[in-house]
Amino acid sequence: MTIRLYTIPNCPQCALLKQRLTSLKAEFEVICDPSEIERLGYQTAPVLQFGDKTYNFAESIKLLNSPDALAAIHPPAAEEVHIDPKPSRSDKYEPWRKDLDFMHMYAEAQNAASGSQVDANANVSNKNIATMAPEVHKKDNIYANRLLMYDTITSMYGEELAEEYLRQLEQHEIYRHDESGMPVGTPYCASITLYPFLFDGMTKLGGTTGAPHHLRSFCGGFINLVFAVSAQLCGAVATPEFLAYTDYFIRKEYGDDYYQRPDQVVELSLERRTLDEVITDSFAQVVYSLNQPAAARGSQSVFWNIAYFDKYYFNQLFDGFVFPDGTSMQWESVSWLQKRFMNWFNNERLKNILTFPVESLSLLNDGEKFLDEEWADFAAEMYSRGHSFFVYTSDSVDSLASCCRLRNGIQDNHFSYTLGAGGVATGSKCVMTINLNRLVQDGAKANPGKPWEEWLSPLVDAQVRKVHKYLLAFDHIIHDMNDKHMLPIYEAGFIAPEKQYLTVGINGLVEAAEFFDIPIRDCPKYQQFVDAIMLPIFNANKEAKTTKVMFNTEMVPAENLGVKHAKWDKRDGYVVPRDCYNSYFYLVEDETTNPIDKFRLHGKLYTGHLDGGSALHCNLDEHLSKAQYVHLLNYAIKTGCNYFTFNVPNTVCNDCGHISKHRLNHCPECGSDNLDYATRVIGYLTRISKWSAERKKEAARRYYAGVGTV
Amino acid sequence: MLYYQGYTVSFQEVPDEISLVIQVADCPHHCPGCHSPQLQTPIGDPLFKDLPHMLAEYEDAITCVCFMGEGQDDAELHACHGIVKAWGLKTCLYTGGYGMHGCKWDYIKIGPYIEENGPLTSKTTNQRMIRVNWDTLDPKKALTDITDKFWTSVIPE
Repeated sequence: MTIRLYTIPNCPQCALLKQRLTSLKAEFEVICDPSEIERLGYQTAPVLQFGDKTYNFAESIKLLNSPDALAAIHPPAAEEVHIDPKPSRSDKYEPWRKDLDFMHMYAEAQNAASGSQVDANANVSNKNIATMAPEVHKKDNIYANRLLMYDTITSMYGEELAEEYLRQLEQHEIYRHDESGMPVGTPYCASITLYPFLFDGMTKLGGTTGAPHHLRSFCGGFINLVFAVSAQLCGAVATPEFLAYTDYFIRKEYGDDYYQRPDQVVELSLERRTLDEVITDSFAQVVYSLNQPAAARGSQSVFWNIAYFDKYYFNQLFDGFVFPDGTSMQWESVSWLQKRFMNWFNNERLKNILTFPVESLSLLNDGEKFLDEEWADFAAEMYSRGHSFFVYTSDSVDSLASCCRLRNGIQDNHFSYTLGAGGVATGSKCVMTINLNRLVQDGAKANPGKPWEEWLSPLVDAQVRKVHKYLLAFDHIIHDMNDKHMLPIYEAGFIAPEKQYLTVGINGLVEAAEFFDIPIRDCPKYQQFVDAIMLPIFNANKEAKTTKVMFNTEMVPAENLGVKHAKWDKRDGYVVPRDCYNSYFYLVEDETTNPIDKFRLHGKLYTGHLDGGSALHCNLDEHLSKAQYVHLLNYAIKTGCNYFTFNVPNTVCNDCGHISKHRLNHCPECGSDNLDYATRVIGYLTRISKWSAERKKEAARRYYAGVGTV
Repeated sequence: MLYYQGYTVSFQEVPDEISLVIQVADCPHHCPGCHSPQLQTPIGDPLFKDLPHMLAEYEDAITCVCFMGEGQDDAELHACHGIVKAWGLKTCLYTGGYGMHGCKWDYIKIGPYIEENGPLTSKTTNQRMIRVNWDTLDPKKALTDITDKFWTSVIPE
């Protein structure tokens, strides 16, 4: 086989490939001529010709690590003559050559998400040496995770199921989230109570600061708390009480009626700041700090979520709540502070693309209208003013949507003097996702000639029961870690493992329906299909619930899993209609699906059995008027679509930095057309150019509801 | 006979309303530079027959039905308008002319498309979007020019 390396002079990558080929003892020819590289259609050196194909640098590195390529270089000879090479001091380090190659490739990649081979993180903006650090060991983490799961499943259910777990993972029938990034036995996400923080500060999490006493010490300590809790989770940390506690500390310092006199000068410093300035400065301190890349998390920022409540939600969640000084929550000032924060954050986003916090407003309805009209009206007003946040609406305070998409049932809504408000603590310990497209196509193969109505539900049921067992094994690992004092967030009382769900994820639902030529629109056939899948999962979750464990289901955001599933399934010969599986009940690229259809497809007829939630991201080309949002909010009640947001891409000028809440073709400040668009991927507002290549394609395909022109 | 070439739900055509927008064919105006010349010929599905199905599909979600063009059959247009009103919805007509065609429209967009003046979203447009209040006889109160709603946004660029 011909191996040729096309290089240019003084090129470190060329040298690296040459070295790699030499170390593989390949026979190859070096052609140092830039015009040859151009002739092959490349713009950068080196180019590797391997047989009759050519590869760029990154592809070459990958290729030279693949077993197939190695076999091609050294076809097994009938009789191999073995000559011992002269031993080199570097020989014992050679097994780590792959890490080195990876690092070179990462440094070459366009951005952090494209550089990541294993599991692209959504909230890393710029690639640098800190973002690279965790990437290098992701594979090691995956293997350690698999081994521990294998051992645990074997001890709980026997070796056969443990083997099956590995088989299902390797054949991409199921996917274990966050298998790569964190040490084995890290829980996924949590909505925490801040109550223990009021007594112990950071001390029980290994910190030194004690209980906060003022607004300032609260904000400072809170930032540390969110970082510390995040370090023990793979995913998001939600603090639904953030604003209610901020309100408490403002009241302590400035009086219960502070919200009635925000313009009062309250500082004797030269700046003579008003109360309102003191408050918004606190917001800025917390929000800007928490959007900082955190070095300990591979320069990711934390995933931080907060909640707003209407009067009814608030009163029910904090009924009987008592602060350490014996006082209670005060709705009037909390309501004012919530609005103040939302307004401040909306304006602040004109200065910077601030990803966090992800905000969810909980609104109670009576089946026909919102009970707290003032807050429903305010929600419509904020949408019309360009603010992007989630609304969760329900006809009882039965659940809380706090983890940007995860809806979690509220189990125990009582106040306790050790744990605070019981309703806010929830979350998910682990998510394992079923690749539905592969499942149904395997099912169709195993049941030739039979209609899916006959075999689909039992097939889903069998798969869910297996996933439940895998999840229980993971739960066992978490408890084991906790028993060994490895997870102080539990011991310190911020969250209890019993309050977190074990979550069954689903991906590839519409692709599975398309396989049977079922139209992806509001129609009985599609409804029946969704039910055939969702109902067995819902029932199995209900059945498996005990006092110690609970299960729920979510349609997982396909920020990168959708891309992986599509890639794997295509490679293995399955029918794959697009490069990124959907995270919604509709087709992102279908221009005939209007926003009303999307609300219906995320209404209770479809999501009714999705007990862990899914968020409708209603993409619009332009902002609507308040009257239109009022109508859409009410329409959400009508359809039973309980969790949604409106998404209009913001324009960011790459030249002058101007941010607009509109989708523009030219920067209104400097006229540049070097623009970027910030939009919600799955909950998070980030710049499109920071996404990995496949996800960018998904954003380009995403259909924004049309602006009619005449 | 009235023909149409498609319909959808949209937010942009009628300010503050959520509208079922129907593309009515056979437009009599033939403005030079028209953005949808395909609507100048009597091609499409029969509107009168399909309208009730469209309304049944979306009536729970919409506040208004917007006819993009009046076609060339006023009797049928009148009947279609009546059907929409019977469903308790508002009505809007986008016409390149100035006539109401015998219907009590809640909104009417009037005036031909003139390329150099630009469409409704342009501040130099000659076209007008009028809101009609049929409950008053005072012409000053009856007609409100709301064209500026297409130009202003609460949110600055």
